[in-house]
Amino acid sequence: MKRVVVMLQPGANGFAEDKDEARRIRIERILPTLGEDRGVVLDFGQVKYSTQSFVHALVGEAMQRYGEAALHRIEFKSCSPQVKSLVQLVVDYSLGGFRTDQGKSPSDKPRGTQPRTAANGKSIPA
Amino acid sequence: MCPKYLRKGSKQTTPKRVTIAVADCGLGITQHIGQAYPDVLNDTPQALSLAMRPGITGARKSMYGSSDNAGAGLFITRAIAKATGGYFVLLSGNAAFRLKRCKHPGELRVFWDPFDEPKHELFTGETPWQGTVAGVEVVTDQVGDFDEFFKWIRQQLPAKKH
Repeated sequence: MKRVVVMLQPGANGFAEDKDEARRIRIERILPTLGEDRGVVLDFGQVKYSTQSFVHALVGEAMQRYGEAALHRIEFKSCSPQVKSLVQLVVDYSLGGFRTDQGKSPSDKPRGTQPRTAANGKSIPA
Repeated sequence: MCPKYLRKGSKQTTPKRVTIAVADCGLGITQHIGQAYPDVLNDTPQALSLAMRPGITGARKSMYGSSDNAGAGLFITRAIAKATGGYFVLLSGNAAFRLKRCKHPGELRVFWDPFDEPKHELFTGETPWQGTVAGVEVVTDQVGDFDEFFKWIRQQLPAKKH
């Protein structure tokens, strides 16, 4: 089945960071195409740099929704080394989530730190 | 937003660095994070701590953040500062967090809980900032190959193995 090619347009200096645009592409192009069991080619040929936030807004939901199967249906084309690093980062945590290490839950109280007031100026124990 | 590029400091040995500060007058981190984590609504230091951990956003209480926000930005910014030996500050409401410069950038790990960072300070004051301020210093001399640099950043981000 024919794949849908999405040419990603960067802003100034080849820098793609417009999350609203990434969100629009995700909602209007990527998710509907994957929902039809078709493939998507994300062409980063004109993008030199990007942000983690942009890539997350672009593909994070697809990764979480379809899991590793999404990697067989989404092609990341013409990525610069910088963009490749970002894609790897987003794919990593999107498929598994972030590890909450040290056995903590997100709402655990911080340890070993006492706030100091601007007035008393006492050092914080490390 | 206030960026600054310093080619040389007062000492000839001071490395080149970029400092960037971003400030807003929004609802602040405590109110934002408190939408998903009500326990921190009266605990701004804890709200700052949550905001700097990966995967935590005020949009949704989950390990993934939301479709639009991963909740990784402040963690990555903190990691960039630490990787290069720069500093990182986060201020909101009546509390402020500062990660001080380290002497051996790149040899250290970035802690999931920012309050576990050995070289951090936490301040509380009586005059709150109604919004959020984030600042980072990047010692650009320490950023050689971007791919390798970001690979180190990626290693610090505690993604689960899948």
